[in-house]
Amino acid sequence: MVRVSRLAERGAGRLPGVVVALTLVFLYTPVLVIGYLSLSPAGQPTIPIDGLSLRWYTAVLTDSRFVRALFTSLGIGIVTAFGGTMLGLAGAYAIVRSPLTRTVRRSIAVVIALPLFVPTVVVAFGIGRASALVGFGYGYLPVVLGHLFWVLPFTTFLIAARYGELDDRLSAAARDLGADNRTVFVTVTVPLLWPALMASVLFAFALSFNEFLITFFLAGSGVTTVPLEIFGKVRIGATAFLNAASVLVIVVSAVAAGVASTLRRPV
Amino acid sequence: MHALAVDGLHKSFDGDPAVDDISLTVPQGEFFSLIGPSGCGKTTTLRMLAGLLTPDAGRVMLNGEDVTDRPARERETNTVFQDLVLFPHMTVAENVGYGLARSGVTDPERGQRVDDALALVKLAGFGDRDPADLSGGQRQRVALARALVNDPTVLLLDEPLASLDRTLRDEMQAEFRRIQRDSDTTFLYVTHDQESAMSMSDTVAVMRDGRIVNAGPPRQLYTDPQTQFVASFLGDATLLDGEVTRHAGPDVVVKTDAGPLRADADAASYAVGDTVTVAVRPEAVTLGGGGLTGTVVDIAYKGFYEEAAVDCNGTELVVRRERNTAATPENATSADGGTGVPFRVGETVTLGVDRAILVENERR
Amino acid sequence: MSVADTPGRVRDWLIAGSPVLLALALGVFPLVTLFVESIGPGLGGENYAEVLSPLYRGALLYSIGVGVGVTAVCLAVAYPITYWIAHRCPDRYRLVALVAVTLPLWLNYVVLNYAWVWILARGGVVNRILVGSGVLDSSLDLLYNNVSMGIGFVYIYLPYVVLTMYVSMERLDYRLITAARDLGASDYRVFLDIVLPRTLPGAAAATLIVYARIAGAFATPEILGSPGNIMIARLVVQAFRQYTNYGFAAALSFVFLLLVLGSLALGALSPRVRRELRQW
Repeated sequence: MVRVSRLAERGAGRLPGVVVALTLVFLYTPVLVIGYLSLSPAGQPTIPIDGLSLRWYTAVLTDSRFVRALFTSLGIGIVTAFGGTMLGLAGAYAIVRSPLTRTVRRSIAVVIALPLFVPTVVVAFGIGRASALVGFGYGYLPVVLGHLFWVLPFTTFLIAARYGELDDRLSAAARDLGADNRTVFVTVTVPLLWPALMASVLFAFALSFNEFLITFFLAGSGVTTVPLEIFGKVRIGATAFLNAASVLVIVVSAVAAGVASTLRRPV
Repeated sequence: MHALAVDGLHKSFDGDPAVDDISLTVPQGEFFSLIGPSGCGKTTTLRMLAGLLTPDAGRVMLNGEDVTDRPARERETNTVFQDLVLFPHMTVAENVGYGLARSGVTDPERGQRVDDALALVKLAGFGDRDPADLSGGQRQRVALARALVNDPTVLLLDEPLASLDRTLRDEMQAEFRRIQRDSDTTFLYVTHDQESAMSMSDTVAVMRDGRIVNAGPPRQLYTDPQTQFVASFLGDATLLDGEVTRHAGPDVVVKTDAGPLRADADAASYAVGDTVTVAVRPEAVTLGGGGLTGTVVDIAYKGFYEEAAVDCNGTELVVRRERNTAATPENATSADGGTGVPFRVGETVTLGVDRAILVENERR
Repeated sequence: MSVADTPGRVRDWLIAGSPVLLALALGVFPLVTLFVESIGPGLGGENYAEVLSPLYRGALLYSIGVGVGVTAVCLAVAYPITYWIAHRCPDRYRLVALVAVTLPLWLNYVVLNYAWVWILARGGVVNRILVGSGVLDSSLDLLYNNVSMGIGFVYIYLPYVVLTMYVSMERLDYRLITAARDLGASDYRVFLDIVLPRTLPGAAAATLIVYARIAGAFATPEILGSPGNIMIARLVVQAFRQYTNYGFAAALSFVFLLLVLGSLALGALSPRVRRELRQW
């Protein structure tokens, strides 16, 4: 009896649950398919694959172009992850906690959010032209700056969400106990923001590691990242090499995501 | 010399005065309470004393030294905050030792002082715990220890008991009083809970609309409040307007709607014909005899005593009497004169008022 | 400001300054640069005249249309998903469910779109299963059309929409739904009267995040779209890489930007959305 009324009260039938199930199938089928195909021994896999082999992983990891691109991507990703998080922390402070006026803080938030609502292709093209005009040209520096710009709204709002929840009276308590502003920041603010800062580092890394369009416009001929390398090969055709490379790229990002999901809130 | 002296403190927010000319002095070792309804400016005052807020005007002196322009961290005050605000990412010992670390006290002295402070608040051995794993009362003690361990000139307490249930609050009140005596620290306690302030304090100051309206020992404030606001804020009181009809020795007789009441006053300062306000506390009202007659309109059981609201010519007076559990309405004939016989609504009783209190009427 | 905040404004301006400077230097300055280039030497309007020719007008409208359509599909799918996770999912599985539907957010969209080639191609998974099981006699052309491109877009942007909408859906007090049901509302009325208005801010935020990126996307149409249907990004890339006709590409970018911002503003102007947005 109770059970019946409870079900009736829930309403909307099974539709939402079915959609969730279908979505999970939709989201994970391609990943599983590409993982399966990457084990094919043939250069042009057929479905089903005729045997199991890791030879294409060996091929990818001994391919100097791919390995160079991988290290470039990792390097740019790490710089972007930490730089973007520090800038994001500064931005979050400015938006959430600084004594600047409400209007100023709102304007800062809008400017930081710019990459979200301006089409990436426009931003990327604009940065490319501006970079050429001021003499930065193309290469590592514009790419890193472009990535920092691209991850900034994500890191800022990720950290700001946690910063906003942080009890302002904790820093008042610390000051009351003799801490100066720097000490309050080091002993209270940073430890309490720590999970958000770590999540920000990881997510910024993933965003940068996977970024394609901005890099495409700013890299010039000297810099090749993994997404550029893969995109170039995709246009030529689907191959077993590409499948193994794809799986490796997914693994790197999934590791970052996995670490992030283990972060616990301390409070 | 006073541990704390405040002179002419002012603070406005957006033009609205929150604290309007507060002056007070607290001698070393005293338990001083600042009480008043919410919004009266008591927390603003405390924040200015702590250095977390800058006054618009006025001076704050600690041990005779002017600290008005010093920020919180350079002041010899420490605060037990409302809701405590323990650092959630630190252990109990790290919380308590935080202030010592800031003033450069290192181990082993720091560890020793933290242990002593935890022992003082009866939390010896709790140093490694996480604050989140403690009970409400234990967290109170940690917050107290965190402030006390720094040996502040004045310890400021901002309604720290507000979130506790009644039983725990009573227990913590006794603890606060004990710890205050044992540590010989000057306490400045801010609360809207007059009951806890009255039971713990050496001196109580009542605030209203940003000003201190009355200050003194709890007993004096209760028995001789200066204004009708103080009379009704600190316990039950019936307020009556009336006119002075004659002097009787040091007392005056005031004619009110309920009947003539005798109020002790400095008779010389009141002339016959003056319009005055008197406050009558329930325990000053006696059943039987007396010159007032009224009808019981409401009865409330309050545990070991019983309270009746009696309508005397349109004014309600409250009278209390101990309960006799053996007596019931069925075997009683009248409450008048009997002991322990329950009140009944509608019965007529006679009342006497031992002593009414002349108070300032703030409405005038 | 006070003894409580001694270092005061100078320090705060400096802290706020670093991210703002980056955002201005890479967000605003390039747009100004583009605008100057689009006007071109001699302040002529030729670039803009060319942008508005039928060929490019079609690409502009097609891009906006794809943006609107894919965003709408993402929202439609995200509603039941976030509703289920926020209000139906058993508490202990909620986080797992949320992580599961948003994990692809972390993955590379070029790679993910490439994976769909293997599913939709003539020799791909779908055709193999359909032909192998005898449902079809011969393979279908599932790839390189609007549907395959749409699937690719939804695949990439659905997690963003879900994550953003979830915040709103979680705040929706389930007791409101119970109350409405108690007062006799059907599922349809409950959705219309309670769920939709209370979650509109989340839907608006999600739109803000994905719409511009879909309309301006490059990789997905290249990998999964029809070669005949040209989106704006390809034109900009072509001009940038091959023709080096920067003035025209700049004008095209600018008109596109205005269209995107204009359509976003159109949505934001609706009084209801505006009222709801204020809660955010």
